[in-house]
Amino acid sequence: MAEIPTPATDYSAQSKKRPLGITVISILMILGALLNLAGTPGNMILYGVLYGIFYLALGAFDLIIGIALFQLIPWARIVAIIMQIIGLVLSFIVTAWVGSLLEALLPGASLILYLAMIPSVIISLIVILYLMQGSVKAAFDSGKW
Amino acid sequence: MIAVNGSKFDSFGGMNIPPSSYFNEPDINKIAIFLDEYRLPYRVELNQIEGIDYVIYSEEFELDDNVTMDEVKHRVKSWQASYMGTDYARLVKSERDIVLIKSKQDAKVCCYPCIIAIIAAFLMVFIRVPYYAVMALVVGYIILIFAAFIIAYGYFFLGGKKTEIHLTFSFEMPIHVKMRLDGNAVDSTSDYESLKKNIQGHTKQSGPGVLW
Repeated sequence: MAEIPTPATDYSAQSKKRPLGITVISILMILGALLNLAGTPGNMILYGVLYGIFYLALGAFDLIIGIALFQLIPWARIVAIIMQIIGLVLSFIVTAWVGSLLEALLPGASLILYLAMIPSVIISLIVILYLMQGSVKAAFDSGKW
Repeated sequence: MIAVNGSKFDSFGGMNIPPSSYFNEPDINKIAIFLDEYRLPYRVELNQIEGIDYVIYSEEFELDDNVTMDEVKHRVKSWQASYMGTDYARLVKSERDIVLIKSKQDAKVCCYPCIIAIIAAFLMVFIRVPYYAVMALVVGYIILIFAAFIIAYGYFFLGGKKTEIHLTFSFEMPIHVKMRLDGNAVDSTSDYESLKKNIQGHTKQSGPGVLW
């Protein structure tokens, strides 16, 4: 008599369930990366080849991370967290630098720039906190054990 | 009202447990921490007017002598592959300590930040800035929009419902299992029961098929 595998015994084909937040983040990341890539020729013409290549590389990197997040590849979560932290640090440095340049022309400019930065900083922190949650970690680690 | 193992709070297992007034407020987490010290199975439910609002279950049991860790893994994984466990992701803290997590985010909330952004952009077209006073109004408007956007975004990503089932397995044989149901678990008690049965090996793994 042939044995018929039941759903309770066959878990080899179990697929990872992608959290909705990860779907949203990865789609936004992929769209942003595609916009970056599409803007590369314009960037090259307007700001020079070096700047264009930098944006091309950034777009390609974001595209890879976005696709990896969508596919729940374990390293993508760590890389996405690191990218968010680097982005936060860089935005602080750039704001401080641009603010110091503008301060001579327009007193109080750096304060305005810092205030304008608040929403993006909070959103980055929300994304970092979300990516560090146990449920997200579990979604990326389900293959082990 | 807080119920422990189906009865009122101060009559748990015939033990003298401080009355609920011992805790400043009916904090189910504090009660669960307190009951953990007894190392006995318990089921705490916070009942309110609408019904049971919050539950924490904690149980310990031993498996049969011949059940190995590989068999336990097989049982947990097979439960995850079943209808009841398909929404649960497995977080492996260590070989003998795992957490099964079900997280549900409201897809509707996901749309709120986008709707806010679109409405804000649409309204901006109709706002003209002839004077500084109106400029201040526009700045206030932008701040409000950003605040609403961030709150919606934060609620979507960090405010979802999570159910956690903690499983700890002992190293010695027979394997001693500690199970704990926590989080937004009111709708997940049946999942917990089915997992418990699966781990104990009380489920029918096979039966007469169509091709008997």
